Amino acid sequence: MQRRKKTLSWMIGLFFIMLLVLTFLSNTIQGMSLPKVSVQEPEMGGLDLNVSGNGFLQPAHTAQLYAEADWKVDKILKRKNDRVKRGDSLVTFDTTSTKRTLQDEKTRYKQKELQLAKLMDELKIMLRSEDTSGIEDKKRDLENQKLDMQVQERKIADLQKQIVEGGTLRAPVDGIVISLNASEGATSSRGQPIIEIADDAAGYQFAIVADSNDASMLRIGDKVSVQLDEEPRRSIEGFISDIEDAEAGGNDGSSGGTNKKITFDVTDSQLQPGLKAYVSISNQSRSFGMQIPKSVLEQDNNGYYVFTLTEKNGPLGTAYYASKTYVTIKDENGDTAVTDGLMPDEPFITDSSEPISDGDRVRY
Amino acid sequence: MTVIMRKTLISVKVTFLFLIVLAILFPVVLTVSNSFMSEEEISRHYDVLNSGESTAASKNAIIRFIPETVTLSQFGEVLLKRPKFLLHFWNSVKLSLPIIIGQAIVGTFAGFAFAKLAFPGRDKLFFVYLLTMLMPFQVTLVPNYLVADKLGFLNSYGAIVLPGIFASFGVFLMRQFMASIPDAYLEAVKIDGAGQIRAFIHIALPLAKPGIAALILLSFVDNWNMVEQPILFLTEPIRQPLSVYLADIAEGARGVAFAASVLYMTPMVLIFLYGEDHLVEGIQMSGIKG
Repeated sequence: MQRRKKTLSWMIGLFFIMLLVLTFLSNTIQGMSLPKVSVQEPEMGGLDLNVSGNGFLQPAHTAQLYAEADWKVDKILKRKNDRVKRGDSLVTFDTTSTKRTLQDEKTRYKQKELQLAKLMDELKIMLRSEDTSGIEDKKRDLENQKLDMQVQERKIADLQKQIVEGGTLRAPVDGIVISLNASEGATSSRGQPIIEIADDAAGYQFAIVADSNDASMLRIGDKVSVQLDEEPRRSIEGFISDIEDAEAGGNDGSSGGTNKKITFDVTDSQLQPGLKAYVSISNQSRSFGMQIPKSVLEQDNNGYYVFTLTEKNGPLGTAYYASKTYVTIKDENGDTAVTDGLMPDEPFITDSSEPISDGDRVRY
Repeated sequence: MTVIMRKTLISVKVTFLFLIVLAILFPVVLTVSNSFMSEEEISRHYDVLNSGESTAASKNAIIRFIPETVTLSQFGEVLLKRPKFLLHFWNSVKLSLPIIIGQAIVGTFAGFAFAKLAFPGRDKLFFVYLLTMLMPFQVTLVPNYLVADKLGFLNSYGAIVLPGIFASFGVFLMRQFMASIPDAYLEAVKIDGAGQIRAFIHIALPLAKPGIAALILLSFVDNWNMVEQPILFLTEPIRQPLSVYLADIAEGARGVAFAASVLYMTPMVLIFLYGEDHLVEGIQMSGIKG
């Protein structure tokens, strides 16, 4: 009897001690079995939209100069990439062939003069004679000859002009020679421009491709600062001249969403075609809300949601729970979304050691 | 009466008693044996209770006593993963212990006074005391609530502990027990020069030990199992004792309920076994039978 009582009292004692110890350890034990999460508080504001890239300057407009005739190139005075001023001589041609033609045409003119004189004499004789039948006919011949001569005169004037003006090709604008299609001694062809000059006044342009979300805030005409790859580096002001849809699936591997091709115009007297230009534009989207990384967004039938951390005063101290909070996405770019539905100081769960679901207790 | 008839009568009696015992023990044994089953096994057996299809006659809960695999996982779940269980367990302790101690003290003193002291109106006062005991809890509920409200005890353990301490049952039990102590003992002490207090401490108290033990046991069972008072007086769920929380624990995990119930009745069973002989003795001597 006594032994039984002793055993029972031991059992009662052990039972209570066990529960005491478990109570003492309860938070620790709970902590170990709970999924560990890391949290972050959302930032308030619009989306940071960043457009950056580089491109090579291309002339916005080029002046193409053609040879006036199929002349032999006599001298090339300016080479590719040479800077030229308006009126500078660029190429001189050997105009001998045209001069010869001019000579021939002048001779032909003289012949026509002689013919005219002859016709006049014939007419005088006819007028003096009694026979009037051929007078009118002769007069017409005379008039015709005069018109022929006028044509010949113009031809000569043209050739003379060609020789004087076309013999030397001059730069029509300030700029840079960007292509030269001639070599000394060779005959130039009239089909293609002998020389192309990038027009300084028209400026240069370059284009980059950007994510259309990022580019959404850019407008044609926006001023931007463009960095030039020169020694020393300098930056000049440019502006956006064009925004158009780029072909999807650029070589940067970005998939989904369309890209935009943004063209920038820059104007500066020191620019050269092919110069590398960098541009970086930071902007904030107009949409205002809580910024969260896109990676924490999850989706179900009711829309997008994130897990937020809620704090409850539990029976044995403060306990943290994961709760599903639905958000609406107002704006997004590559990795960030601006959402509605979160409180500014409401921490959201960015990472968890185990998959969590709504209402789960978590360790933080 | 022939021998055969007597034997038949005995065997009928035994069978009848056995059936009663079986009926009484059935839920207890089921609870204990199911507490060693895995959550999966339990939810499989009691699946029908979850589905809410009461009309499906073919689908009955399968009652099994022998687990497919004996596991302590439910106990682990209750004790390790549900700190609330422990909290409510200690809530129960916090509620019962002061009542038991207070009742033992108050009951012993008052019982002695009612049994052994002569003062005017004693029996009438005792009768009034008895009346409150005879009244069911539901009758005194509203006045109790109003008093607790006036005293500012609502949502505190005081609202339960104080009425518990002064409950008439303890006084009644101890009065009956004290009455069985022969007056001659006390008179002898008094002749030797002892006062009332000395007589109480040295004679009545040692003799009343089995009675106190019985009171403690009965009071423990009573208070450990109380449900109405906490529900009424304690508004905050986290202050509720285990007896109330037990109904919620099975939410979403039926298996846990069995283990929690076993843990819930363990202290009661242990303490009952420990004080079993006192209880029998105490009740016998107090003249209360049954």
